Amino acid sequence: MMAKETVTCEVTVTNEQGLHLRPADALVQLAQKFDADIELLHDGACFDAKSILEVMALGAGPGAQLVIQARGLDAKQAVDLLASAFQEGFDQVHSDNADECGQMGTD
Amino acid sequence: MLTLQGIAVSSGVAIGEALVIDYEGFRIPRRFLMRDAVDDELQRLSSAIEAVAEDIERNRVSIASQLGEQYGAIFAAHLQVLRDERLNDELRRLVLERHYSPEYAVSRTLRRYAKVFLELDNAHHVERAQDIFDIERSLLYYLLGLRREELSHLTSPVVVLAHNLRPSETAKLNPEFVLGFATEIGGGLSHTAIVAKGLEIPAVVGIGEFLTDVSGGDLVIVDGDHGRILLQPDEETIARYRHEVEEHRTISARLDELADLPAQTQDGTLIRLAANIEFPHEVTACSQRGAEGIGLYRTEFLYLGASEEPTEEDHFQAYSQVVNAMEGHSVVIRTLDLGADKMGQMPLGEEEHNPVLGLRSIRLSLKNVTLFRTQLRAILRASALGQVELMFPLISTMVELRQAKSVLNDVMEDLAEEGIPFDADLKVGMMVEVPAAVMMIDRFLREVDFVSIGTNDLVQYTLAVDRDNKDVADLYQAVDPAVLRLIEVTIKSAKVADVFVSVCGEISGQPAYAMLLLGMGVRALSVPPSLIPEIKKLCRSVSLSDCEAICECAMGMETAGEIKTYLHEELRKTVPELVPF
Repeated sequence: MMAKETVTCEVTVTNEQGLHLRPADALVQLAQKFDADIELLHDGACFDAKSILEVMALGAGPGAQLVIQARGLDAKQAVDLLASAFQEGFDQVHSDNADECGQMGTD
Repeated sequence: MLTLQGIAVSSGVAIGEALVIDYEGFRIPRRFLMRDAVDDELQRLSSAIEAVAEDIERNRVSIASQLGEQYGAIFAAHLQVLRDERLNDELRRLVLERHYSPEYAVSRTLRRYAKVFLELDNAHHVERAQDIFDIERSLLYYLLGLRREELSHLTSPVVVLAHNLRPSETAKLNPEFVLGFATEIGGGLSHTAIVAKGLEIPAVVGIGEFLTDVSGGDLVIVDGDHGRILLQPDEETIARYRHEVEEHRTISARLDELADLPAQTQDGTLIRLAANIEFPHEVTACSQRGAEGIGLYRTEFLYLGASEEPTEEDHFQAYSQVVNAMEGHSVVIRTLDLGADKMGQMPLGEEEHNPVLGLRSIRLSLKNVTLFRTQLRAILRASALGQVELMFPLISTMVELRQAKSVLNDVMEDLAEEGIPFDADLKVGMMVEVPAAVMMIDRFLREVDFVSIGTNDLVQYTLAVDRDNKDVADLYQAVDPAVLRLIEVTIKSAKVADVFVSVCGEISGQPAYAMLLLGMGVRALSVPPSLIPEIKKLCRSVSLSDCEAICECAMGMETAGEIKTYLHEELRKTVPELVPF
């Protein structure tokens, strides 16, 4: 019943240096685990969360407000996971990457 | 359309396909594919991506094992970029649908992303752009492989856009194929600039970063008259510039008809109009345009092009070629005018914090007498073949002039002993380009046969300004009243002492300023060969009495801006067709 529903969530970039190369990579790796289409909205523009070039082009500095927007079967899970990744800062997520991805695989 | 301002170093307009040479000298061509080549080219693109991916993975493993996973993650992110689906889709689409070569597709697409990052106002984003360029370079490395071509091997006309061109690279440019060039760095007095002028290739330097905004094959315009380049010009602009090029061609054709006519003013005074050259092959242009001798033969190229110090024979070959070609007209050969920092062969002494005030030019020659003697021997030998004159650059003190002349006398004695012919009455002169020389000019004039005013250095040393430093470049004004007073003193003193004086600096090649020089009493000008027709036209259009009145009025003014405006206005009244577009 949630198949076509759009799930959104507002997040803040907590990384000290903003979404630089490595956090962007971590974010994209997480996003790619889902079937849902996931986009990041920033300053009125829309970026594909599964493309590292797009995520980098966001130019989101520390403290930037973004909206995660996902559409698809696993949209809710995707938004939840990405939102918590934003909250924790991606460097940490990156080092725990294997575990997180492992969990996701079993969902 | 994007218009970028740089420093105009060689006049003229070039319109053509861009050939972009990046930091590592990659040449990125635009090539459209034949329809039946598309499949093979897509395959080539995939192979390059695979090869680069393997490289990145190898780097990741190696760095991760040496420094830890955190560092390896940087390469993991590069891999992510390379595998980016949007990127790959776009690359394949450009090859498949628009028939771009993979090189062009890669360069165009990645540069566009890099540009986005550069425009984001944040230091980390600039670093990201570097990451993207890194990936672009890796892909091009595989795609181009050994097909990287040298500039000297061009086969079709292009406009060369580069981060920087070294003088030796510029020297290899073939004017038949290089319509013009533009560089990100470099200054107006660089040797690259002088060479461009010598080759008569329109050029703009010191534009600042712009290579990220352009891809090989784009149509670009280099406006060497105004120091501008235009990227992605619109149809209207292209048409306007094409018209300008055409008009320029018509005017220069008309001016070329003046070649056999004398540079005689309306009131009947003959002006000696000579040429400044750098390379022996330029004498052809000098003769065609009716130059009365070579007023300044720069010899730096013998040192710049080579990895080893030039031999006496190298010097002699170059000099004799020019002297023979000028068939009895005088050739003023200037001795080495370079800083140690520009000479690959020279071991550098103590670190030079301020090369312009350091060991350069005549100072360098006097410290390296062997090198100096080699050049003097060759000049003297060439003096047996025609009318050679010798000129020392950058003389600041009487002691320097006397030392230089004493080395010359020594060399003359040696040649006489060896029975090698030379002109014992060879005229010896000096450049006046340091304010100290002007202050002492009455004394200098007793010990030389002629003086030549070099305005480029004179402006720099008088106003204490580095023209290549864009923060202060606006102070660099050839017609600053302080500079003009020094020029006037030199000219008047030379007249009184009855010593031949000419002006060979850039100021003499600009019609509006040349008019002022004539008014000051100059009767000899030396300009780049390309400017001879214009300056001759000027001389034939003005009367000295008018020039004197203009000079008097200009010398009463107090700022360079006023003088500049006034002189251009006067030129417009007298010879409107010489007013730059």
